[in-house]
Amino acid sequence: MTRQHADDALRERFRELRGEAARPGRVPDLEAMLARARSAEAEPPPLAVVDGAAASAGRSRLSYRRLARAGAWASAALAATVAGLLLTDRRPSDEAEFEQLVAAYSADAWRSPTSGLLEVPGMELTRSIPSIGAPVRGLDPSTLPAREPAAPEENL
Amino acid sequence: MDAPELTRDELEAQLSRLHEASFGWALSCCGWNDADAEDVLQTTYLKVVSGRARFGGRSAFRTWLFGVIRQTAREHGRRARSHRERAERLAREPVPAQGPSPHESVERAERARALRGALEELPERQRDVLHLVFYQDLTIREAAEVLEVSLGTARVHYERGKQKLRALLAEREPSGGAT
Repeated sequence: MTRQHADDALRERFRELRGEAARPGRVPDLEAMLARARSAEAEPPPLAVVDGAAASAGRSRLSYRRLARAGAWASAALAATVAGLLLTDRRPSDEAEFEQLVAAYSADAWRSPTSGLLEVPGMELTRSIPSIGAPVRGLDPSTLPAREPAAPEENL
Repeated sequence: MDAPELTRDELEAQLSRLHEASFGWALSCCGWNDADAEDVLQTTYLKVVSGRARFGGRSAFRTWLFGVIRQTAREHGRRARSHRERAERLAREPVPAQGPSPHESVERAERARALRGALEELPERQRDVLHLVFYQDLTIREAAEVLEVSLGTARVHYERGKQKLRALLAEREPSGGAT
């Protein structure tokens, strides 16, 4: 059998198949299909889905899948962001750290490690201004030895 | 430059002219399942009528329409059964009795079923090229446009597909097929 004959034989087989596919009652009614397409086009999408039009329902399912996929991606991205923040941001914030440094180095709180060596007896006298008639802080006047009055001739 | 847009009436006239062929192509794209093919064709018509699929005039209307049907069948067929399952289903399918001469009709239907089963065992591209060339009488170039492959690729699928189809038919019909 030549190549051309072999092709013709195949073509004949396909012709039979075409006849079988086009047998009466098998091919759907064109007018009904076009009418459904026109009505599905005219209707808003939700009604088209309720109406059961295969095309709209398929599109609706497709949209739902796309939305679900987008939602899943968004959730995953959010979870990854939160996890990243929890893992990397364990140190106190810069402001808190700065406040701690200010508190540590403020004049009231800070003490030199050797400041204790400067504390000697009577040191408090250097921190006050004495006044006449007032006892000196830290000295009781009654404990002082009484002074004898001076001789008149000595006062001369 | 794009061709002027077709009016609604012109579009519907084209769809009407190609309706039977379109159903045959939809059947091939849906593993010869009538309900799936009708759904695909309905969705295709909705796309065309609503303008979601727009004919740009860069190819013949039939080539463009077959491309839309194929794309729609792909979208529709994501949940479809595998080709192997389809081939097995076709083998079990009862042969419908019809026509004035029952014996001849049954024989023809048997041959058609054998061909469908053999086609379902071919790789998709080979099956599509053979259908478009032998069933739809398209040239290999037109088939390449429908399938969005190069002419050379379509030719390779065509030759390999024919070779494999003949072998499959010879296995199924040892007494004589399309060999």
